[in-house]
Amino acid sequence: MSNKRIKIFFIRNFTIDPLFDHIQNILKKKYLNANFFVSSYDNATIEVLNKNSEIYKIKPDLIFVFLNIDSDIDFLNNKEKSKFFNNFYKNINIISSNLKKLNSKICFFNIPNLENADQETNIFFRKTNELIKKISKKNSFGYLDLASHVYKVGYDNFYSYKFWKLSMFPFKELGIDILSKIISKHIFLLYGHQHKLLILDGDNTLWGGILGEDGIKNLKIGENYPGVFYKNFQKLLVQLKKKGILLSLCTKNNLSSIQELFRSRKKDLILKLSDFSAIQSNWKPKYQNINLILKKLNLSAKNSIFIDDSLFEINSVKKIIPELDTLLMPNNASDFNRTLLDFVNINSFNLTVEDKKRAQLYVDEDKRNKEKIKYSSFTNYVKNLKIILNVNRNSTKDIERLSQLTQKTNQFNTTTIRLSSDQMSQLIKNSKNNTDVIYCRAKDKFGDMGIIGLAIISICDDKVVLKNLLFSCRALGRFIENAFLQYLFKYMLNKNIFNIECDFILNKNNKIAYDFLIKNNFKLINLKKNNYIFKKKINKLDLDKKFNLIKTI
Amino acid sequence: MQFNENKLKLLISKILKVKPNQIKNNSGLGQSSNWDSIGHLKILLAIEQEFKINFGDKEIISIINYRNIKNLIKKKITNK
Repeated sequence: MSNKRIKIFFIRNFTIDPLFDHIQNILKKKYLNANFFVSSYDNATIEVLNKNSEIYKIKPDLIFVFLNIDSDIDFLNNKEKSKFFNNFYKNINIISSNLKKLNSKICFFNIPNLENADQETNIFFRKTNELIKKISKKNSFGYLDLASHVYKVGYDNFYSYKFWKLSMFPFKELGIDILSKIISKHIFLLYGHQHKLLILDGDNTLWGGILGEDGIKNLKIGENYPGVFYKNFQKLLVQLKKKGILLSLCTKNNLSSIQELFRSRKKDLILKLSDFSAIQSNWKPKYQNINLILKKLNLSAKNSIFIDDSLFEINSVKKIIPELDTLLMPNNASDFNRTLLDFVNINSFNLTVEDKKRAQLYVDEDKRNKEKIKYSSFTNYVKNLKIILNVNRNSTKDIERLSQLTQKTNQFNTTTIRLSSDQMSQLIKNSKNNTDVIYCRAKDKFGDMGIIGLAIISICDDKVVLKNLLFSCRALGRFIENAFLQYLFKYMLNKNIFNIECDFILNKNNKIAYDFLIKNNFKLINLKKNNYIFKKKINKLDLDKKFNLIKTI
Repeated sequence: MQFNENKLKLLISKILKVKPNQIKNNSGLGQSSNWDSIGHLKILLAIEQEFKINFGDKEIISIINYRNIKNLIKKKITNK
């Protein structure tokens, strides 16, 4: 990870500074460093409105909007409460509508209800959180559910009335600990530390007992105590899979025994063998099996967690693959679910259809790779995949996924400009003003890859300017990107436009997009450091029949 | 639990990012640029956690320098 210092700005109305050392210590474990900045206590909204204020000078990478409501609010009468909250809603709206213009990642905290507050107050809190959630979703802001963390440990354990009144610092030790963890987790998510794969041990992790010693029928899993904890752990794993996390099995057992276990205890087990995107069941050292799993799924160790109940296994794997996150399961299976949920970094907000079927995408990809070996010619292999490219233009039905593509695609991405779903929606709505959002979905005989390519173009007189061109890595290398470019050429020729330009901002990751344009005979003009324009004159000769093997509709 | 002055000095010096021997009896809130209101708050929070004590409402406003803090912790630990 780079040594870059992340600039983190807190829009806040209370003392938050004591958290920073704690957050910094957690970030350091993943080689991240941060500088923290804060708004003033009582003028956050005015600062956001003032374009000369610190927040606009600093240009933070990440902004947290973290507001607290004084528990004394409960002492106000209903009219005063209503006035306070209406003002509060206004402030939230002003803050969000101004911040979204900044090129920063933004994240809102919700606000837990007060303990023992009257019903009227709680209704206001509920409305506040509904508003925060709505704004976050609409603008693709992060949304941190502080309330659920507070309810889990209890309001009194989290908040300190004493320090709140003394220094406007509202948290107790436990609150500091939990908050530092959830803020760090969110930072990790944004900086590529999202977990995508769980590598799971079997014995005493997925079920109680040791398969080779206790025998299939004596393993603890099912409705009875303590088997129910393992069953519930498996339920959690299925839930995580639905959120796009891949599961793999890495166990020291004979594969045939594992197959027999999943067959004969089918009723007790929640997981099926087919839920695992990769299985390594043998007696080799676990690090070897883990490396094979990572290679097979084309995932990096830093995005994966190895989960095992044995400290020996955890330590020996960690020694060989230090960048892999490891999780030692606690002695009591009743603590499994909480242990995993506390540890895993997943972005559960704004999940797209593509996220939910990620596991299936990997299974399909595995089949494609196996198929590839059968063909001596790459063109024949692609032809046989029977790829269909479905191109859409200015459609509003896939805004979430398009926004996500701009945010997640790093390699084949000409500008890496990230757009929120709100910004994407605006672009599409403005499409009449000579801007086009063109995107494609690819399917082949093995499955649907989903929406994998996007071009944002603007048409100025006699030329098309590619404001951004991007492709999901999983679809690259099968001529799909070429077929999409061909579509763009045809689209231009039909409009009698013969000049195309592509804005390009070079960074350490997107060389692949740079090479693609060079290969397609775009001419390069360097504007200033890392900023380029690629230009090309097109004619009918640029329509290459070779790419007709991909059917474009 | 025995009161350990080195532990207290180390704790405060870490928070204020100074050397332990720079912490004197009259060091305290407003006496140096590091020991500002946020630094003071961090010290109070860390002491409650580290020495497993709970400052009372009146106590917390009476401890504004190292000497006060040290004496109060000693007293609270002995009375435990």
